[in-house]
Amino acid sequence: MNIAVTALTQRLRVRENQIFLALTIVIAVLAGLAAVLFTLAIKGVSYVLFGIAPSDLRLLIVPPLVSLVTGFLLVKYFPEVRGSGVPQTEAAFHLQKGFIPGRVAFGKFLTGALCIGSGHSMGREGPSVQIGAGIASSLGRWFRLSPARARSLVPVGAAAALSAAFNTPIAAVLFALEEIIGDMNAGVIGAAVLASVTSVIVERAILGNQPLFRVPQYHLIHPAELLAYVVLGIVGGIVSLAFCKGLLRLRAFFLSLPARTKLFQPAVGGLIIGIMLIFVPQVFGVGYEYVDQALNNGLLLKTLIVFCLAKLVATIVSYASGNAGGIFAPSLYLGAMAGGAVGIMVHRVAPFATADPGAYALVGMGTLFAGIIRAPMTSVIMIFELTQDYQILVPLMIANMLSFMISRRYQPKPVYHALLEQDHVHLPGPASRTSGMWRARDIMVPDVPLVPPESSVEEAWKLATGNGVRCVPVGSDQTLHGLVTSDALEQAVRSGRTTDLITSLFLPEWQHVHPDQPLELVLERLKQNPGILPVLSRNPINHVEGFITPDSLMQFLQHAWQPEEKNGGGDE
Amino acid sequence: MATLETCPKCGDRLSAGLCPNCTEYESRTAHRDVLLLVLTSVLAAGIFLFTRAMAGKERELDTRVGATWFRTGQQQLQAGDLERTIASFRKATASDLENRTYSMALANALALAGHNPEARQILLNLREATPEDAEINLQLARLAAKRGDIEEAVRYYRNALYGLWTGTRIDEQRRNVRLELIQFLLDHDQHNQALSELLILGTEIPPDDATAQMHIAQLFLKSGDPARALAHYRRAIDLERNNPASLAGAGVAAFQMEDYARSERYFETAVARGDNQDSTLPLFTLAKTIVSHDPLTPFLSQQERRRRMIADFDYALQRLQSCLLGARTNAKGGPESALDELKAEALAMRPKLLRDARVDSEVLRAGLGLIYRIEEATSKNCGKAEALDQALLLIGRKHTEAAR
Repeated sequence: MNIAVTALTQRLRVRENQIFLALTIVIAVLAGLAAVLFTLAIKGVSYVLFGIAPSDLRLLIVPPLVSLVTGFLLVKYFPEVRGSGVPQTEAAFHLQKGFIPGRVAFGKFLTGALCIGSGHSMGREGPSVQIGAGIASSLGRWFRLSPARARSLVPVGAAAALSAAFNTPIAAVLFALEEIIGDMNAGVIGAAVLASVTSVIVERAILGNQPLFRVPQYHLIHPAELLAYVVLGIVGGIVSLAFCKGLLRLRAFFLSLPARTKLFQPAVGGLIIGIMLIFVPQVFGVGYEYVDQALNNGLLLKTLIVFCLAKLVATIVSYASGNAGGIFAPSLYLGAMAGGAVGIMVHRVAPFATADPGAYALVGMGTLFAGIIRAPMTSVIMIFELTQDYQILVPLMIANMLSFMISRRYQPKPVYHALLEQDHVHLPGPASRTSGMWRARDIMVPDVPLVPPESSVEEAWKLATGNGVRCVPVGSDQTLHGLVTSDALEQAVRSGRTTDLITSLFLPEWQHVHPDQPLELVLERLKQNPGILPVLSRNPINHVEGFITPDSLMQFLQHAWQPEEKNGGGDE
Repeated sequence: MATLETCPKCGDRLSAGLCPNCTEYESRTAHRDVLLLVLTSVLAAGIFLFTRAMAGKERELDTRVGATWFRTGQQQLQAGDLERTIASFRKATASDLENRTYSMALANALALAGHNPEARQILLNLREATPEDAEINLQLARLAAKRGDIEEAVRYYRNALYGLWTGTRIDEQRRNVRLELIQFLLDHDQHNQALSELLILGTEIPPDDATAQMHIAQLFLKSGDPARALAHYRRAIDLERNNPASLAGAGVAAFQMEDYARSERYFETAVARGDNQDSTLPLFTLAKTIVSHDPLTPFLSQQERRRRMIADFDYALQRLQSCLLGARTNAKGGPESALDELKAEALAMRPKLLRDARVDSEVLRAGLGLIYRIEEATSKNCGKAEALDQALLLIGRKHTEAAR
């Protein structure tokens, strides 16, 4: 290669490295400021809407009225900013090369502040993550960084924003790695640490070094108390499961309603929240002041249980009805209440001395976080960062792991991924993200014609017999509607149903893969399908990228085994 | 390796190995990068200032809201509505987390309402910032005292005593805390610790304050040091001669010191000065009985000494005989042999007493010793003693122990 061109490329790379470093700091400052401003905006909105001591009427009507406005904004202008923001950020990172439109950060800020400030039981951390990631993505584009570099700024912005929003810089970095990237060894770790530290400095420069909660001193009074943390882990797992299942079911219900109702769904949620606020005002917004009370033994057993159940319902309603806000803070709230309740009960029945219920509330926060968010490492480090006490680690790990395992056993998909799937977005799993493997995209045949859904059985039968295929894909405009087997077609022809629409013969269940999924999964799923395996895009999910058939697989393998053709999977 | 003549990017001809077009582009990009960085930095600085201003305004608002809730809470506290008070103080604290007064008020309200663990947690958090704060330590001590945790209570009381006090009359505040500590120690039977604190307190109280002298005397009395109690009572009496409470207290102290004659005098004066405590009169009567029955009272004539001795002895012997009779009627068995032995001993001693009681004080002491044993045994076995029995018991104990 020409030396001059090499030098040019080298200089461009050096330039990008320098820009990346400077940009990391700028992003951290801006994301940190955005997170702080977001927190202030929520409080400001709350003061404006409710004043100091709101009447019952005000509590009842403000949430639905504000939700009407936010519903309009969310449907018409910012459809990407419903809900938490964490899954959307993950999707942007994995599926859209880190591209987050500029309006997303603004829209999330506006709708998030209105929703949470008007009383919806949601957290500010998830929205902060999306705002931070949005700022990072926009800046990456303005600076015309290479796609890979611009993409790697997304977790940097997310870590910075979370660090400023929750005041735990190490946990913020881990969250970005564990949840957003899904890889604890990601190369972006250095930039994420730098961003996280910078943003927390900015946050403390503005708000002061005030902790979010008055965290009690942790004590493990008796070794047998570890058994109580086993109980807490089980309770945490059950509550996590109830939350995830409830949220997904109610959201699926709202999503199944006609599209024209979308505009009003947040207001329905707002009305329910308004009614709840009259009876249990403690479910209002983020609710960290009540977490603080639970941590400091300020709540009775009955109160803890009522708050836990009310928050569970309120958060599910707020989120599922399509408002903008996260589940990070609610999971901590639920954890503190469940943990405090377990702590009081243990205190009453244990034949030995036990720690204060506040200690259990603290561990409970991590437990629910591990069960709901499914980021066990982040949860351990986050609680450790809050307490700065090594003693808490063993009970925390016991409870977290149990909660995580129970939740994963009965709800295999993490809630963020399941929420994305409800929006027809499939995130790649760890195997799909590993490089150096043969992928579905390498094996698939891209240009297989789809049989239009308005075709008759006879037309499809002719096509199937003409091409000698065992299965016919039906769809239009690269959108797959379903699969029909040649056996089903033959039976229909023999029984004289030749004029029937082909859609009447759709297979009830069939498998698909995404282009980035590995050969092992392709083989496994191809076995389960009748001779054809659709390769669908991840977003939108039913967009056809190609098909894999036994023939295309054989052809690929023949080529792959010739060493000079491809050696990407040589070590497999 | 082939040398390129055209730029692989834009296709232009290379000049001296470089593409003029791409080099210019690179230069433009570099300038643009710097410009953008400067712009974003300026933007960040602007947003920083704006955010800080907003945070300041919000803090002001929080402070106002906090003050409003605090005032509301104080009004509710005055009205005795503790739960609402707590809710208001909570809101005040949530609005102004750094305000120590609000947190202290919340902790106090919680403690008043019996929510002690939370009150303790709040105080511990406050103490982390100011471990030497006397008020916080005092509240923590009170909570520990409520829990009955003596060790922790004493530790926090002492931290409060040697901590930093604010406001005026600091000595008085310290003195009150020490008094509270002493009271706590006495309530929990920690008499030695209480005594050592009392000795310090004794040096701290103003010598011309009769009430304080009387108070400390009462505490000495409670802690089992009647001699020091009497000294402080006497100081109080010197300051206020007609104070019946001090006089009665001195009577009690003297009584406990077994100085019954002095006790009788103090009680007499106290009653004359209008003392109407329920406890004074029985003790006064008992003291009087003791003084009138004690055969070893100084300055008695030989005849009187003998008369008292024989009368006391006969009374005790009679009580022993009736006690024995009662025990046999009930046929319980057990104590009779001991009582019989005492009776035999008494019957054997009586002639000796009749013979030698006038001159031999050793015989008198032996007789009183036997009376003491008889009264002790009969009180134990035959129920409640009469006033004279109590008097004889105390007389016997006084002289037996003195002899011992």
